[in-house]
Formats: sequence, C-alpha cells, structure tokens
Amino acid sequence: MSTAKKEPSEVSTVIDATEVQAAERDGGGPPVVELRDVSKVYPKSEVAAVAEMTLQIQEGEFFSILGSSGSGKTTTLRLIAGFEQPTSGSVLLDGIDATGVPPFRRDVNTVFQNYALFPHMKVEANVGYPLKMEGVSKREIKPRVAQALERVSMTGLENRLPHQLSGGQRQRVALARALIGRPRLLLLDEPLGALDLKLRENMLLVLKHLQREVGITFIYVTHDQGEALAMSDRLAVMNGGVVEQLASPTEIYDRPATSFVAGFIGKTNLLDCKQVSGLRAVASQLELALSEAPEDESFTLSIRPESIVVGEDSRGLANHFEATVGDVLFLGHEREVLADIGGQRLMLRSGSRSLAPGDSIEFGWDPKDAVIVKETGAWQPLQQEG
Amino acid sequence: MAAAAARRLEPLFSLPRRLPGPVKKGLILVPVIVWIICLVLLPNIFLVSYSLWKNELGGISHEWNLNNYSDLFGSDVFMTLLQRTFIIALVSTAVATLIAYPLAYVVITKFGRYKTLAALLIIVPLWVSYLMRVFAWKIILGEKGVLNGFLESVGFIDEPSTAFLYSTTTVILTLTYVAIPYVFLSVYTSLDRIPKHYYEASSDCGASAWRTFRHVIWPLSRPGVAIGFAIGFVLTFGDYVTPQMVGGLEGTMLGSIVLQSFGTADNWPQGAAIGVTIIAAGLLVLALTSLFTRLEAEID
Repeated sequence: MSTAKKEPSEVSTVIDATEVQAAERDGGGPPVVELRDVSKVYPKSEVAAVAEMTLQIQEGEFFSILGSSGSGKTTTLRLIAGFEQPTSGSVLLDGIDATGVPPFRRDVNTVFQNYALFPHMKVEANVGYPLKMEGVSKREIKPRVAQALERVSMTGLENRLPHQLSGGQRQRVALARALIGRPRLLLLDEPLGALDLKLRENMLLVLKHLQREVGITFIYVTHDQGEALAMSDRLAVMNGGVVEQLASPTEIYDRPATSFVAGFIGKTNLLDCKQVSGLRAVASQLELALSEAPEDESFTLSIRPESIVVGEDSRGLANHFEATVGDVLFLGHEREVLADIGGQRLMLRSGSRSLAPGDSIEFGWDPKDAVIVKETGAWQPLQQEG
Repeated sequence: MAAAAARRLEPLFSLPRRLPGPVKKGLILVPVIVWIICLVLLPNIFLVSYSLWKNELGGISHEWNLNNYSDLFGSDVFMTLLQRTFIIALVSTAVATLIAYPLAYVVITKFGRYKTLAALLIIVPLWVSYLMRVFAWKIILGEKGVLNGFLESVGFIDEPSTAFLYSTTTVILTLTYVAIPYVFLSVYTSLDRIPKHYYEASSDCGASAWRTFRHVIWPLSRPGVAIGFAIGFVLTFGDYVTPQMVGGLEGTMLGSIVLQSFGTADNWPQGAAIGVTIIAAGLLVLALTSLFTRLEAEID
C-alpha cells in the first residue's frame, strides 16, 4: 500500500520537471490550470469520480479530455470551473490556489453541453450578459456583442430568443457568450454532442479557427476520439477517474500506454504474449519478433490493423504469417479482414476486392509498429454523467 | 382459410372506421363542453340573472332591473366593506407571497433531494380542514389563548388582552396563513422547472447568487408568482369563514354579507349582486396578473 501511495507523487515530480521546462520554453509563467492530486468523491458514492489527478495545462493550449461516460472527464471540468469542489487536492488557476473560489470569481467560462442559454433573453442579451455582470457600460456592450456575434457568423439574429434558433445556432451563441469576456480559459463540455454529423464537422473547424484567432486556452471534454485527435495539442485519456495517458494525439495513437487507450482510440489488435527469450515472444501459438524487450514475462502487445502489411509486400518482414480469412467487412474505401491464425483472430485492412471467407491470406508487420501496452482493468462505470 | 377467418372476425355492425375529422374533434370535446356548460356557464348565468331580478319579501319577481347594484354602490356600508375586503385580500396575499417565495426558493436551492419532502411539509396544512386551521388561530390569539398565556407567563402583560382577536389585523394574519401554501405551490412549481444549469451558466458568466436571482431566476419564475398571487387573492377575497371566526365587526368582509343575504336576510338578488361583484373583482385581478404571466421563453 505504501509503495502504491508513493507512486503518484513520483509520477507528478517527473511531470513537473518536464512541464517546468515546457513553461520556460513558452516564455515562463505558471500554467493556466494546474490540478494537484485532485480527488473528487461524490456524497453517497464509494468510488472516486476523479482520483488523485495531477495535470498542467499551458497558456494557449487546445487541451482535450477524452473518455467514455463515467470516466470522470465532466467532473474534472466542473472542478476547474468551480461548480464542484475537490474532496482533496487543489486546483490552481494561473498559479494561484483557486480551491473554494466560486465560479463567478473565476476567469473561466464554460460552453455547456446543452448550451444553457437564458430562455427569456434575446441573443443580444445572452451574449452581453457576462459584460453586464462585469459592469461594462451599455454603450460599450453593444459593439462588443456585435463583434462577438460576427466572429461566430451570427450577425442579424440579435433579436431572436433561444428557442427560435436551431441547435447549431444556439451552439454559436453559447460560444459567443463564453468568449465575449475574454476569459483566460474556455471549458467546453461535449459542445458538439447534440449536433448532427455535418454540423459537427463544420463546428469543429469553427472552434479550431476561433481558438487560433483568440489565443485562449481551451479545455475540450469529449467522448468522441475523432474530435479529440483532430483538435487537440495534447489530450488526456481518462478511464475510471484516472488519466491513463497524457500526450499529443499522434503519440497517443502511435504509442498507446495502456490496453485501454489502445482499444479506445481507433481499432487495434491486442495480443496476450509470453516472452520466450530476448526479443522473441509467443501469443497462443503465434511466434512473434519484438522490437524491444518487455518488462514482464507476460505482457500485452498492440498492433494497429493499418500497420499490418497484407500480400506479397509482407514477405520480408520479421513477423510474417499466413492465415485463413474468417470474415470480411466492407468499409467503403477498404475492407476490414478478420484473419484466423494460431488460435488468434487478427484485424487487418485490405484494398483487395476478391477476398472471401475461407481464402488464404499472407500478412506481416515490422516489430517497430507493435507497441507493448500496460494491461489496465476493464472499464467500470462510476457515475452517471449528464 | 384466411378468408373464412376474416369473415368470422367481421363485426355485425360497426361505426365507420374513420369518422370525418371535424366530427371526431367534436366528439372528443363533448365531455368538456358538458362540464363547462353545467358547472361554469349555467351557475353563472343563474347568478347574474338573480342579481338582475327583484326581491319581494323573500320571494323573487322576475323583473329585470339594475336596482340591486345601484343600491349596493349607493350604500356606504357596502362601499366600506368592498374597500376593506380589497385591502385585506391584497395585503394578506402580498404578505403570503413575500413569505412563500423565499421559502420556495430556499427549498429548491438548498434542500437537494429532500426538496419534495420539505415542500410536502409546507403544503401539509392543506390536508387539514379549513375550519380547523382558522380555529387554530382563535386558540392562539384568544383571551385564554396560547399567546396571552405566554405573554402573561413572561410577565409582559398582567391580564389577558382581548386585542389580538377580532380585528382587521387578525383577519389579515389568518388569511395570510391560509394563502401561503397555495402561493408556495405555484411558486415552487415554477422554480422547480428552472434547470440547475441556468444557475451554473449565470455564475459562470460572473454573476453572484443575488444577480443570478435578479436577472435569471426571478424573470423565469415571475409567471408562477403571478398565478400564485391570483389564486391567493381570489381565495381570500371571497372568504367568509375567517372573518366570521376571528374578524369580529371590524373584520367583516364581503363574503359574510353574501352569506347573510342568502341566509338570514333571505334576499337572494342582493346576495347574487354582491357575488357578481366579488367575481368581477377576482377577474380584474386575474386580468392584471396575466400581464405578468406572459413569458416569451421556452425552458428546455
């Protein structure tokens, strides 16, 4: 137990060191948000929604928190916004301890999942509300509202009430309202969740463009891995109240740290392996070559379907197999092939149109493309998220 | 085989499967129309008719005239009572609203999952007979009542005072108590409809709790307040039990003389005329409050 307790602090010191370097590189100054060993246990709940979370987010970053429902991502956001107070640990904003500070005293704005536009106020009043609360004069509010609405292409709809707007329009108004006060930090809680696919793609571009334009730090919470990969500078994958991996999108995709991350982000083959000797291992009856030696004798290997080379090109690779096609799924631009070999079923991609179940197929991969991942437990729902 | 089964299942007679649209709509409306005619329209037509007929020694002569009204509005007693009733109803409902609103606000915002229980406890008095509730105040405020007993025991007064009972103030106090649950219920419902994320969004925009209330919660709950106020007013304006029991002469209200006119005085046309006046006053207040119930918002 004592060793287990020690681990997080060691991890956090390691992160601290790298972050300090990063901060120095960016011209100094404390991180916009810092979570120090933050835990949140809801009343009447036995498990922590967020457990000993340590995190730093830098100025101007587009940071995503990715996780399925119940992973604690919304709770993390609510802790930063101030709607919830941590059970233990502290939340720092701009290097100042903000634990216990109410939301209205934080220089943080939120775009809510359901937008939460005030239904009795016209668009203009909704967007101008934060300025009004700040005590800005009416004469000054009007042009700034116009400017904010122009930025989200909503000019001309000032006099509509929220219920007279479409979902995408409400989304834009909510964005304008959250950005008008030029907060240090913008929190977005699954902002695109209620929109249809086309609109979502469009809003993704709007968001990305806006963030570059205003230069405000964004924290974006989503369960959609595509959104998170497309938008973020860095992202944290959460599971069961803890961060499984915190890295850049490419690193998360290419070098997943845990089996959960590997499975949650994109599709992957997870092989339960046993080390035979040095860089040799066996998964069921499949003999594999590795690029690095595993720490433990038994370990999990992740290999992305698109890293598997199919056909004659695979002949020179260190791992080369021949298998029977079990199933073929047509995906449009290519086919997903499920190949049975040595008691394993592997997922691969092929452009060939002639593959059918029962056919023989040859494939292989470079050991460098397979990643050893830490085995993490199956995902457990902790709490319902809105 | 299938054809035989189908023939067997065919009913001997049936209404046309599809009635024409307007007929269908009409059929659905029948119960409502019957209800409105029998319980709303007819009684009121009778009431208004009576108020326009003439009283003749307890009998009624069906001569249409406005004398009942001109008599009433020419009478100092009636005018005094009308004014007093208006003031009593207005003040007690206003006070009830001032108490019920903060009560409902606190219950909604601070009681969490116990809010339904708290609301029930506040509404519980409604389950007790109206007479009992008013009588309770008689016990509290009477000469040998709880209040006198308490004040005597702490030495504040030497002998029981009769000042607490039988006054306009007593009536206002009791009617306030009577009106509170009704106003509370209406306000509670309207506050309960406001989702938590509006409070959060407002706070997020930099508004303190007070300003959130002032700019978001109050405007959204105002219709509920107006409706609660209207219910309270109509209830207290026509009341005759409370003034009779705790009001004394000083606390007499219009309702009391309606009772007298239909009862001891046996002057139905006059009673009907006062009744119509009470209804008119109620409608007036409803019309005024409806100005506040208009809300151009849809809470999602």
